[in-house]
Amino acid sequence: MFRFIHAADIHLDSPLRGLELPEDAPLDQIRGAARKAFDNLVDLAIQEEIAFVLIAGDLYDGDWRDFNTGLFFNQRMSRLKEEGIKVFIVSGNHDAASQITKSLRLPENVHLFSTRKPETQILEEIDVAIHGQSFASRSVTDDLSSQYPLADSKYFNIGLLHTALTGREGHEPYAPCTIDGLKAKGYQYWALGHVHQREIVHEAPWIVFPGNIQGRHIRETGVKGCTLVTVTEAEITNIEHVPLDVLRWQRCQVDVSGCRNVDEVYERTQSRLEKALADGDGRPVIARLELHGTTPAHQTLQAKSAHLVEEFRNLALDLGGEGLWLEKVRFKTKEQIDLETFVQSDEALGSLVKNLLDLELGADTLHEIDPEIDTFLNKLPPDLRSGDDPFDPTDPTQWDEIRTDIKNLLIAQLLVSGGAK
Amino acid sequence: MKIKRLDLKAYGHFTDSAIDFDSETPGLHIIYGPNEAGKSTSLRALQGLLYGIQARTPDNYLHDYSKLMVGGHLENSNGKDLVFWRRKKNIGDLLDADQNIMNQEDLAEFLHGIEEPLFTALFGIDHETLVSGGRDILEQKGDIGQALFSAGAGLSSLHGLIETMDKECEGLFKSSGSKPELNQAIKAYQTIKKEIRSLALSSADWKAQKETFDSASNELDKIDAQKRDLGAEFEGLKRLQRAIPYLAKRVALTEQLGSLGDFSHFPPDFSARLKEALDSQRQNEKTLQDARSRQGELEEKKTKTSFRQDILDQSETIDVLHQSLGVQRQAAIDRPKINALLIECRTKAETVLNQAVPSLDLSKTTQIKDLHDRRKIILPLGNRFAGLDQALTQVEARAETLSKEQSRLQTQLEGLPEVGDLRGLNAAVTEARRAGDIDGILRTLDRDAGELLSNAAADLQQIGLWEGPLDNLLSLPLPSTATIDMFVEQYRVADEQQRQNRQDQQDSQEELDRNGRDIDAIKKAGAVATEEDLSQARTRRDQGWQLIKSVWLDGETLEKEISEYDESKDLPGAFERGIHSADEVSDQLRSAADRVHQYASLLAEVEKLEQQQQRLVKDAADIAKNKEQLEGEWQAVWDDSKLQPRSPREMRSWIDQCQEVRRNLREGKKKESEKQPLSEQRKQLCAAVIGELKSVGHEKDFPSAELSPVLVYAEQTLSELKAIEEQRQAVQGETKRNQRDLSDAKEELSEAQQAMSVWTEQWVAALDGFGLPKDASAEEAENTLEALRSCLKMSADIDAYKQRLEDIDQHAQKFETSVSSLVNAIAPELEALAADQAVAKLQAMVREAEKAKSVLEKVVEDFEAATEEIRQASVDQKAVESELTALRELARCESNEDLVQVDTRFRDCRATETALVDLEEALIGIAEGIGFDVLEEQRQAIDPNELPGQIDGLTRQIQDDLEPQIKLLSEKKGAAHNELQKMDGSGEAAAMEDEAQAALAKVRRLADRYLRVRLGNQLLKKEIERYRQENQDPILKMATRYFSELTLGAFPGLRSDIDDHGNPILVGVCPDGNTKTVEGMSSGTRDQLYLALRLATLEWRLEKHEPMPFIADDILVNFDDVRSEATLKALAELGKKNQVILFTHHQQIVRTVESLNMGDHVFVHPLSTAPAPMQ
Repeated sequence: MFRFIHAADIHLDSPLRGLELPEDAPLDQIRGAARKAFDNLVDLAIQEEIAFVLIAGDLYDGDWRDFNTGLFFNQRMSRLKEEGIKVFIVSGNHDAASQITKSLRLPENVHLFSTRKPETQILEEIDVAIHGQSFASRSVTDDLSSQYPLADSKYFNIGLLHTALTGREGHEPYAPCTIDGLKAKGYQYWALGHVHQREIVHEAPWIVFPGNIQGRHIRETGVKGCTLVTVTEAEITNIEHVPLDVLRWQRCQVDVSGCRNVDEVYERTQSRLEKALADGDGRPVIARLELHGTTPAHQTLQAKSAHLVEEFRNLALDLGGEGLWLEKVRFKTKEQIDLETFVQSDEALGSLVKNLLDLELGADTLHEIDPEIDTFLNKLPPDLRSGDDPFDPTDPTQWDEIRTDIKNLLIAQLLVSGGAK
Repeated sequence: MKIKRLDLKAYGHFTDSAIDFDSETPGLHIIYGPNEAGKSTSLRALQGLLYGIQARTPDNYLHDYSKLMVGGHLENSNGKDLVFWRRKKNIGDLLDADQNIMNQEDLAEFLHGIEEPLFTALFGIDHETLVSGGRDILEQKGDIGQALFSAGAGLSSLHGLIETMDKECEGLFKSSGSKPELNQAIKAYQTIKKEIRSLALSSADWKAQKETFDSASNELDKIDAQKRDLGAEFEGLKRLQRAIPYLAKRVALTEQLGSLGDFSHFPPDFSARLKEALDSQRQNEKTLQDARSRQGELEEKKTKTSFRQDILDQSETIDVLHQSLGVQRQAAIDRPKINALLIECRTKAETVLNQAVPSLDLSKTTQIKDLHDRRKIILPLGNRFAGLDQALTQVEARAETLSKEQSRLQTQLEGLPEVGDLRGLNAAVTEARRAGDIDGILRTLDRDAGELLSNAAADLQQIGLWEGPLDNLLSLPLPSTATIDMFVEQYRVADEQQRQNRQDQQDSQEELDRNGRDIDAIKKAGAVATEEDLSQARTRRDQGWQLIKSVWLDGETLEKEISEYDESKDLPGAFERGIHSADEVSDQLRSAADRVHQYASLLAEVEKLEQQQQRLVKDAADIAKNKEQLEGEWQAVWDDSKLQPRSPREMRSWIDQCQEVRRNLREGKKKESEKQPLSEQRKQLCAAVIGELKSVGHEKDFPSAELSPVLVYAEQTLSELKAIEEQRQAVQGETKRNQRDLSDAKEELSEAQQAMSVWTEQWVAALDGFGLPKDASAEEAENTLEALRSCLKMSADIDAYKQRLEDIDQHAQKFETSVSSLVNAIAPELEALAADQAVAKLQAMVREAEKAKSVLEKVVEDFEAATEEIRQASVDQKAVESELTALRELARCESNEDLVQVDTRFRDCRATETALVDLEEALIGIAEGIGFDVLEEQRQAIDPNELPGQIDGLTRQIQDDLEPQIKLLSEKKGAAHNELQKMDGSGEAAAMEDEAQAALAKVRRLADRYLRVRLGNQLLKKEIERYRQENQDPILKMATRYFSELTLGAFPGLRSDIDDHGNPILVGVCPDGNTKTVEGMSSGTRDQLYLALRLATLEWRLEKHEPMPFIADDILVNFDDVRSEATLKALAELGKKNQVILFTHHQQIVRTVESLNMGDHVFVHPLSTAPAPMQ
């Protein structure tokens, strides 16, 4: 009997994104989450006395250049070396772009598979054959698995591969391959990487995405960790997901339908946050709070949004000590007023809302509304306007949100603060 | 919409109140109430009615939240109305007129989709809004757009809002600023990013450092080895150089030791023993001499010292006497004082006793005590008196009150009228109530039945075709709609076939005509050869040829045939013509092949069409026959009903209408039949109720047969009678209770009197012997007892004083006797002295004797010590002598002087030996483990003169050559190592990146906010401008009229103007034609300007929308009387078209309205004063 760990998409030293911290925030708790999670992985490997670790690509983040990251990795690998634990790595699209991969000399217990052709590593003492091939470049569009050798019946065969399979939402379709293609190789276990969401694609033979080990932004929610596999007499007898993350991301949707006033909204929010905190299993939780539903308190919520965000942050602090952070608070509530009738009347406010909602986003809309908006956009850091989730008011989805927000802002301001009581 | 009525069923201090707004025109309704009359409450009730009662309304001090209820009656401009109720509930708060749950939509229809905030904004105005609106106009500097938009949306601080948004934008971002939040956040982000760049380690840097470190390490290892070799050689030479002096001295010392002789048998402590023995000898001799002289002196002193033993023997007795001397002296002082106290105490006691009980004197202590002991009885007895007395008084008072109450109740009871048994009436009413709204149902049934039947008759008239009595219609056998539908379909098919046949015939004829025309055309263009023609021509040709062949080849004569063939009998000519003819036809066929073909096909087509036409004619006949048959069948269907049917299609619609008539007829009849039992039931119920009324003496005639007036009267009567009955029962119950209480009270009174007399007896008995009157109060008895107690205490004090005087006298006597006997015995010389002086003298004598005794004891002790010292010294001296003898024998000396000389030599020898040992120890240190022999050999092998030169050479090589190299390399290696140490896989840059992302998140949040506020503000401004352009002219025109009215003509005009910046602004026109900006107007005028704009907007709105009530809350507070009057007029004018409800608590306004006599449009609704709410 032996056990091994299958992990992937570690993205060492990649930062938490989108979380604004108050000035007195205890940074130690938030900082270096990816490293702490990786330390958890190393601790788990030692504690469980496993035979070897598989890392299925994207060990580093592509655009991160600090060589310290590689040195840190080597330090941890040396710990595994002392315990006699071997590590097998294929590089993925991110690693292929990383400077660190090219320069770092790995310790003896770590094997990085070749980029030129599939390679097989044999562990004679436990009769295991591991087949793998690394990404040679950032964008690999060939089916790497097709060139992998057929299973060697003398051994327990594992395929190590960074792939998007037949495609997964939100992930580039690199190294495409099919489940049938993988099954045809006759391996007992396919250790895949690239998709950040844990997924058991197939059982017997097992095809597994373990997901990444630490959520880094609001699109990576829930429990994150690695897969711990037990093999007895060349057969898989147990597969277990072990959480490694040191903090968790969660989307907290609060339905405030029917809340008659802000106090009731507050109460519902409180119980939702309490649940979020409990779901963190003792880890700090970073939550995005989204209030939705139709409520008479809509106008007040909109008019006092800034104040309420502060209240909710304090609430989070009260509930979780320093174990609960609010990434963002979004007010997506709707007014109870009959908008249709309201807009149809040609009252001053009715027309205002109507014209606002009819405002289409054209090439120059922003510029027409405010000629100075270009200056504003140009002042923003380029990093904000690029990446996975860029700030771009001309994106139709964002524009939709902006329009609704402006409508809510104006109506609330006019009706609540503008003198109408 | 207007409000016709507001019901305050249970709200604030109101119970079952109502305000009636029903009037011909919408009207101006003034709700007037002084403070606390409920003006604000009714305003809240009105809001609650339309939009729900507020969650935390303060109007629940009389009625619980669950009981609050308001009601209303609304009417739309199209005459539709709605009566409904509103409770305070989250769900189901709306009830219809019958208190059933009502749909929100039914009310929403009347509110025209205007929700509360908007309603409040558009149709509500209060003093605060007015003032704030006026102030906003000033802040807007008269900007027309903003003024119009404010009034249009019912806003009172639009300008403030725009300014707030402008400020927020400025606080967030400036294109060329550093302070705004967003600018700062961007800067912070950039700073962190810069820091990350400096913290991050590039892989090239790491590689370079690693190589530097490795090469320096290798080089250093090599040079270190070289240095070690040279160092070893250097050390060897150095060691030898240091050892040379020691080696030489060692040889010298060894030789000296050999020359001093052998002292090996001497003990090591020989010198010390010798010295000690000689010293002791000298010391002992001195001690002996001193002790002997001291012994002589002490002997002499002993004989001179003496003391008195007899005095000493009595020292204890003397000490006792001396100690009691102080007590004796104090007693002599105290005695007169005690005597005085004794006399004073006795006098006081006698006085007290005489006052309390004159019959006693102080000596009769036992009697006093007996009286005093009786306090255990007297005090409790005295205490009880107050309680008994009070109880008695109370009981007496209560008995009197109850007795008065009893007679009052009796009178009340007699005044109440007698009510009979109400159960019958109650049952009859309940029964009638349970039957429900029977009148209403009957009325409805009656109306419905009449309506249905008359509709049916009218409808039947309208559809015609049948003219029998209405009732027979129901039994009329009519075919089913399915049958009729079938005929409709068959008729339709037959008609369609006929139409199609006609169309086909027509088409066919047209085609035939066209073909005929084509054939004619071809024919006109020239003859057309046919295949037939060709065949004929060829046959003729071939015939000719056969004839020629027969004639020519066979030589036959065929005259006949030839003549038959051709009349001319010119066979060759004929044959030739035949050939030509065949060729011609053939050519014709070939050259006009198209025409030929067309001609042929036209002919074929004509033939086909002619056949088709024949078929169609036959078909037409068949169809006509079928139709005839269908008509017959159709008529047959209606035979039973004796009706002459129209076409099936008409009959289809007729039968639907007829069915509708029949349905109405049936429904009407059904309702008629339902009426009968109900009417019967109503009669019975009425009779029952009236009968019961009669039985309780409240008979009454009812003109109509309706149940409800009877029921209303019966219920009213029943509730009145019940009230009387309940009152009677209440009074009876109270009388009974009172009676019971009264008899209890009387019983208690007699008990109390009894207790009082028992007490009085006990009291008199207890006071016997005190000499007090019988009715002495408890306090008096207590005072007497107190006096007796103090007498007893003073008597005890007197006894104590006497005892003390006796004690003093006895002690004095005893003391003197003791002193005089002692003096006699041991010191008769003191007999003349007084006792106390004698004691003092004796004391002094004892001290003196004790002193002398102790001196003598000390002398004896010293003498004995000296004797012991002499003995000890003699013993010591002997021991010293024997030690010296032993030492002399050891050194083989005759005298002590010789002994001293030998000792000197012995010590020299020991010193030399020690020096040699020390030297060798030092040499071992230098030799560093190398044997003395080897060193000696090395010393002999080299030339000492060359040694320093060799050492210098090596030193130079190491210091000048190797060490600088090592230092350099070590530094290089150290620096590289340090650098590598710093490259320790630190997470600092990564952690900093976390911070960078946090900073970026902040930038994003602020950017999001800025974008929204900025765009929102710009859009709002654009909308304001758009609204101005669209609405300025009409609204300004109306506003001008209002403003002129409200300001009493102070501003006959209002128009737009342009300010210094070219913006359109609002200015007032003065009577003299000059204009005044808003800044130039008084604040009251600006308030009126705002009001004028609001009223104008409202009026402008009326042109396109349903009117809504305009609710004004105390807006005239700051207006002077004349302008109030003008405003009221303006509101009254508006009230003709749109309902205006004005809440006020100023009576002046009511008086103004009354004095103006404004006719039918103005109504005052006073609210009556109610008790102030208990808060």
